[in-house]
Amino acid sequence: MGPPLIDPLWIYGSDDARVFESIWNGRQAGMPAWAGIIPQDDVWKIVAFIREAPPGDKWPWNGEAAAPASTAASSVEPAKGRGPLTVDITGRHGWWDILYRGLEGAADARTANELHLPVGRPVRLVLRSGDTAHQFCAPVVDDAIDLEAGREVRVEVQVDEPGTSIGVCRNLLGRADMPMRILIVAQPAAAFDEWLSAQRMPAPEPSEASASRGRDAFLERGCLVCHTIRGTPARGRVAPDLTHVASRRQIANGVLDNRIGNYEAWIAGNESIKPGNQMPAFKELDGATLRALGSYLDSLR
Amino acid sequence: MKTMRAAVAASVIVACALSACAPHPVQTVAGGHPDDGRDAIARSPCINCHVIPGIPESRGVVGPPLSRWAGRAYIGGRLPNTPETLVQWIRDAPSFDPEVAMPDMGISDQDARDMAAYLFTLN
Repeated sequence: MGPPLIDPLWIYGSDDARVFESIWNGRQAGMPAWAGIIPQDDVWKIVAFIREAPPGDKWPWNGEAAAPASTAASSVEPAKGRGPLTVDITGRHGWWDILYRGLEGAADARTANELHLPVGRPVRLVLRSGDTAHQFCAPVVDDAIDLEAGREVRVEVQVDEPGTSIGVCRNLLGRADMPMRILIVAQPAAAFDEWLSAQRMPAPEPSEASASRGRDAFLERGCLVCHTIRGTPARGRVAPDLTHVASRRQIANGVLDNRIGNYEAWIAGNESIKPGNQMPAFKELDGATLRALGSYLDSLR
Repeated sequence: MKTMRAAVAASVIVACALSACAPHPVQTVAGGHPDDGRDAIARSPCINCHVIPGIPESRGVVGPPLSRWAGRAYIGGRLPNTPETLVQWIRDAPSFDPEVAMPDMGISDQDARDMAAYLFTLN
């Protein structure tokens, strides 16, 4: 009755939010809305299960299914003893969602706005738009790639030198003054592997009192509605995953250096820093709570 | 008319000199360099919470604007605005006020001195 969930074709978009939407609100073609019938947490579990279907079944390049719709097919083989590395990159309203899928029992690693790549190893990027239209224009691709909702673009890239570079992309239907930045961090293979292993881990438990208080505030003051911190009840998907936010070089889609002071500034006054962004400014927090949130985020390394 | 204005101005100056009400006396910060402070502020999170004259990048609305700092009576609404107190406030505001929103940002003593020196040039 419904379309297959193990082929690469996603009628309503394959990112988590779209799959959730399909289950929660239903689709006119015949899918009923399960809101109020299946608890929200269970819907997310179903989304996770659907998204974790074995890559051998789902992705054409791992099997003998249809030819991939790759924009830059490459004959470069992955280094021996390593599976292909695939990174899912989804354009959101004002930020990039970046997912390194867990394979062979490893957990997913999800980050935002900062794409790490191993030097000398081909990487497949699966590019999508999570909402309207986006343009992906990181320095690792030759030309800007237009992304439309419901369509995937696959491209294979390889970086040959360690270093960082920045792509400033247009958000085609966004505000003209709100570019989408993506920071590319090219690392030697060993450093990359170490980074990815750390990113797959759940968030560290806060060890200081102020960070611990910040964790409580994060879970009580509504932050968890939009943000995920793996290892905590925070599982929101409309804003960046903050599990290891302190390990990133920048925050707020590259607008702010990642350091104490800027967390507080962003939480309470983001509209003055990046007009038009989607996050509400939390002006009702008392000063000590704002600082505690800063301490907690700074502990998420 | 010109003579009259000059006379009024002169009398104000004399009155101020007599009553020690001269416009904002210039306060200096020991070991602080205003130009370095301006640069240090522009590189710091200060600009994301405050609007600070002379620093176009400053845009914050979380804390108060720091205009006319040299004439301010209080820091954080409670501490007399002296150069040394400002240096320590910049370094660790919560040590003065546990409820303050401004965090300890790990700013060095030298940077804090330079920043305070710059703020005291704002008349």
